[in-house]
Amino acid sequence: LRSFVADADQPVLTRLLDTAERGSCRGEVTLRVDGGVALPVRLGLSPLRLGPETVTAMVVSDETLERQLTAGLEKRVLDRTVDINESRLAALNLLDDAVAARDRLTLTNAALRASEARFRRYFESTLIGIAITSPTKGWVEVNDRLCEMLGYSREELLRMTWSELTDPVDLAADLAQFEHMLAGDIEGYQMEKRFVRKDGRSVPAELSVGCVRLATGRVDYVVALIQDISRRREAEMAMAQITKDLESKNMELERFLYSASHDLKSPLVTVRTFLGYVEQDLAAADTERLAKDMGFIRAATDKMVQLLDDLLEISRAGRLIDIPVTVTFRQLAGDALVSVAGRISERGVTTVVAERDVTLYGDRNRLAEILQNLVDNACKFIGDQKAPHIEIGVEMREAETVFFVRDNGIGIPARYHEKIFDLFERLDTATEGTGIGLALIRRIVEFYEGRIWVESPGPGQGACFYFTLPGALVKPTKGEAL
Amino acid sequence: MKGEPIVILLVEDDVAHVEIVRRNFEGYRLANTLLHVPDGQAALDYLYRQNEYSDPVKSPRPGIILLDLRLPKVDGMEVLTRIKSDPKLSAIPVVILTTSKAESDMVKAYAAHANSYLVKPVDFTQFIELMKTFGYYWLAWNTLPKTPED
Repeated sequence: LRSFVADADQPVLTRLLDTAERGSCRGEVTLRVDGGVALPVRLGLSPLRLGPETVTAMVVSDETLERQLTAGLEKRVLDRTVDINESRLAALNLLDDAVAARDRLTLTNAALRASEARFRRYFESTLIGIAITSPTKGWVEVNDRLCEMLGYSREELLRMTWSELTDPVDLAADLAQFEHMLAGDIEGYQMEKRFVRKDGRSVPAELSVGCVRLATGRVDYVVALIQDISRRREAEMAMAQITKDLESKNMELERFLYSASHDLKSPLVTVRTFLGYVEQDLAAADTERLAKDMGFIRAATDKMVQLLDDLLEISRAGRLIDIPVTVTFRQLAGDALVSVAGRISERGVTTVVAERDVTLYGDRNRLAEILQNLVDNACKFIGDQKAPHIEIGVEMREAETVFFVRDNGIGIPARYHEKIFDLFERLDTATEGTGIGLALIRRIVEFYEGRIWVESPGPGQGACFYFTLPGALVKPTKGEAL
Repeated sequence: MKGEPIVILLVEDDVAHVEIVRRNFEGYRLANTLLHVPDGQAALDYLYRQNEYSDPVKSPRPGIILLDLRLPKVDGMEVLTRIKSDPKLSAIPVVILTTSKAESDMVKAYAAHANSYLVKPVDFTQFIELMKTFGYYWLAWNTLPKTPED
């Protein structure tokens, strides 16, 4: 052993060996190995009893290797520590993130719940029908408004499809759009269509449809907003009716102007032409023809005066002046019979007012004028009836209060039943009058939202004029003095 | 000019206007016959020989019709339409004689195959002139086919 240990370490070795006889010890020496390389080693010495002898046991360990090993180990421990530290940091970060995520999730959940509650409220709002439907047209979710609109319970609806509830007339248009949406051409559409309610009634609706797609682009579900537009339709129809009424009024006005200008021009032609003849008569001193021609002029001017009076009269009939009062039908009939008493007695006509009575509210004079004109007409066209008779009354016809004036005079052929109500229309030019009476009555009747018509079985079998006055009928209310 | 008598049917409700037309025709030497009916229904009755006009001797087929538009019972436009849509009557010339200058009336009348449209002038000289010209044109110069008696 001594030959291997470096010279400088020989005393160390000696001391170690001495010590080792008494007990264990340790030391470090440098060994000289082959090739002259110095190898620092650690020596561990211990006395070892082998039977009666005591020997020294020695352990030689390579310090460099150990150092390297230790250094490696230390480095690894250090590295590991760094790793651990980093991991711990990462873990802490993760924990932070997790906590933040949890907090966010809590917030998001709350927002989602709030949002869902809000959407639920929209969905259940009674303003508009809302439905979620499937790509196969089935109702998946429906709100109360929609159930109410279609007249089915939710359970019933969820077993049905919207296509079977759509009016067949509107179905093709809806299906075409729906297929476009399924195909991906459009994301939604709007249209007006009619649904058929459970009770069979038709509901006009405005439809707004949109779809939600899966990642593949296939439609997952469809959202439909369905607005009942019955009211709007009614308003539109009312508007159309008003427009129609206005157009008809306008046409009436045009006819009126046409009649007025034509009928006023006609006597003017007569006056101007016969003035020419009068000049000729004077030049020829033809007094006989002069008198005759003056007669034509006088008749023509009389007619013009009458026409102008009538025009004034009819223009006033459209805007009633007197304050409305409560009056019974029988009172009106009385008023009318008094005002035409002269003509009635002149023709020897008997009159009767039926027992049944109705209370009216309106312009008493104008209302009486209707009966007055009708009775006057009936007297004029009573013909050579041996027992001339006029009956005034009121009856119910299919829940409608209908007034009538019936006579047994010459009657009116069916082909004139419409024309007689036109302004300045006369069936018989020989009978006095300008043809204003019935046109005037019609204006008054129309003012009270009524209508007037005539029924006559035929010539010689009398005529019966009927009219309604819905706007003048008083609904009996308690406490109202009649 | 030929001298064959022509029957003129005047459809006019205003008696004064009938008098004016009659006076103008009386001035001619031509042996024309002026017949008058007072409303549209009477005109149709005459043409179809109904009621009081059933006697073909008293109610000969007219060679020309002078038609007012605004008439009692059946108005002139309807009379015109009936005449022109009936093959037995459509060949008879119908001259509208009216106070109406309304464009719509003229359009409707010609569309219904009126042969002429005359507006009654509000002037004596012009009215006389119009009737004279009408007489020359329709009764003297104009030639009508000899229609087979129906």
